[in-house]
Amino acid sequence: MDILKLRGISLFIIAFANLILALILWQEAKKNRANFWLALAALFSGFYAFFCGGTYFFWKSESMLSVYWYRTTWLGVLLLPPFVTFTYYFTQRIKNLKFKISLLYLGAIIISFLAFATTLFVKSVYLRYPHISSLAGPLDSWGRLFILLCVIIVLVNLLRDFFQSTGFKRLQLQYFILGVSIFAFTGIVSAGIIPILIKESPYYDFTAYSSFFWVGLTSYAIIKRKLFDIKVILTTLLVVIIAFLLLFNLLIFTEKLPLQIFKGIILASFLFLGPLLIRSVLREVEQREKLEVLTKTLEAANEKLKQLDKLKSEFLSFAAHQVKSPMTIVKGYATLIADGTLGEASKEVKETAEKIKNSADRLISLVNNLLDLRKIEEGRMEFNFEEKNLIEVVKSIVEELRPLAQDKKLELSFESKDNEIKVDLDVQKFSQVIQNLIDNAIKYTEKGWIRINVKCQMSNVKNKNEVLITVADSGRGISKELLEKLFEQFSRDASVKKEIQGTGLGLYIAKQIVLAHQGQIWAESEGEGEGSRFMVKLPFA
Amino acid sequence: MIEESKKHCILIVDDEADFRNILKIKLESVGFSTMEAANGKEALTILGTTQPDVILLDMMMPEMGGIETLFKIKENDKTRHIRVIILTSKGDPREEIVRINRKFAQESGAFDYLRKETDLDEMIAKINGILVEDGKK
Repeated sequence: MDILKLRGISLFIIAFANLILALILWQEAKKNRANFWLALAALFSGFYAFFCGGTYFFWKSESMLSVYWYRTTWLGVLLLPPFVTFTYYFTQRIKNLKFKISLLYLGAIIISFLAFATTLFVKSVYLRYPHISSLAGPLDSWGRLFILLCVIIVLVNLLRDFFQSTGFKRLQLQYFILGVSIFAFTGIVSAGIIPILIKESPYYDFTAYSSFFWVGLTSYAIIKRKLFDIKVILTTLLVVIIAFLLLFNLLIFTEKLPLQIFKGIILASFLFLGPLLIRSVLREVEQREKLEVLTKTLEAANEKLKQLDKLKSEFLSFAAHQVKSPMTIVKGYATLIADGTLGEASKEVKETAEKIKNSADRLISLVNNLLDLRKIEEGRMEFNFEEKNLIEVVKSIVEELRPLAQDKKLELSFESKDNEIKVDLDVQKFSQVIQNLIDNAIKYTEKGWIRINVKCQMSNVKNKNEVLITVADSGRGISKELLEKLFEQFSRDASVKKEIQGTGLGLYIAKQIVLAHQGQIWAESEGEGEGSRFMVKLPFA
Repeated sequence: MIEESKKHCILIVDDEADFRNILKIKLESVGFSTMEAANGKEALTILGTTQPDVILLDMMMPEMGGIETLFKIKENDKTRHIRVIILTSKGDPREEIVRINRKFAQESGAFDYLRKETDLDEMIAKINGILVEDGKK
């Protein structure tokens, strides 16, 4: 078939496709005003393709009818104002719109009228096989500048919004921008630059072909609730274009059989590999989307957990203080009974009061530990470091706890070669650590001794001195399994859980405090029944 | 035995009547005389007419809390010299006091503190220690 007729028919098909898209968009116009303007633009785009097709299909040399067919293609400028209007609506910048847009409409109407009725835009039309071209009139360049202006407004509008948008809207805009870019690029080259340069317009119908991209992509973006990632569309486009180019090359420019076979093989392999490429991109995109959804879910869950944690923390703090103050009263009264301040009582009464006091004490120390734990977890534990004599600090704790050791008839000794070792300490918190270690030693030792030693030694890591505090006992020792998790939260010796009272938090808190002092804490034991040694290592002040 | 006229006077400031009562019984049993106030305002009123040897001051109280009361006591020339022991359920109140009043950072020795749950014997030991420091015992 004649190539001119073929071009005409293909343009009619494009026109038809545009009209269908216009119809679909029209259906969507009720939902959104922007869609109405896009439908109008698609309609004019269809007219434009139709007139281009008409020019080719009904071509007759030297015929005035052909000149008019050609001139009608300038009616294509009518699609620009609705499209500009659409971008304003879509990006929700409709303030003071009427004036600007009316100017564009006026311009488009004047141009299309003058182009159709006068020789100002199209002087004459002629065939340069297989193209139909025209000799440009004096206003031709102005008309093309108008087209350029509209395309720039469209792109600026969409791009400006693109950088501020997120999520679905961003994806939609990617589609619009891709479609418009293809259209604008083809339009600027085939209906702008080339005509201005060579003063005739042989490729103007290419713009009509490309119109299908922008109307198609834009409609797809608007109508579909769920969009493919733009990467998939781009890859598909690329694959299709390359396939067409290869096919074109094979059919038109290749005459020799061996070359035909060779190019045929290339085309076949490409047709095989192309879909694989598209599928792999699709899969990658899907995975990324899944990941994004997952990330969002996780973020939300994390936020909720944070809130819950805060709530838990506030509740803990509230409950703790509410428990502590009545417990302090219980302890106080029990003490007054036990020590006979309230008057002499029987031995049984005193012993019972002593038990009440101990229980209250335990509960209070549990609450204190929980409060400390919360502070540590929230990173709110504050430390006031001062240079202190460690020997004195440890000694005074030993003396404080001596009555407890005496009660169990244990030998409690303190030993150090030095009289003064200056270390940076938060005295209150560090005392808590040493107190805890000695207290544990007393608790877990039935008979024998507890020895506390403080000594200076050379650090093996750096060429620096350090202090080592050892609390050793002849008690029941620690099993290997327990030794590993001794400094974790709520880890307690299961075998003595019932016999010996404790919260399972003391050593965990102790470790956190020692770490804050840039020190180390660990335990050693040969095994159960073999006694144990707890060490704390601190750097020098 | 301490004679009646030489009894050291302790002012107990706490909003909890039971806690005041426990301290009162214990302190009087070992020979102190006591006065009670349910909040900072009451304490300041008592301090207007009487000069105790030591003040036991609770941190958390309605009306006027412990820290504000401490500032008031230390600002007044007539009461500045009186030793104060802050009773707290939270640990060292120094940080908080410094946060509220930087000026106090320099005179952080102007008060002592004890946890409220401290054994009563230990509290008495602390009070006696302070009295010895002041040369009153």
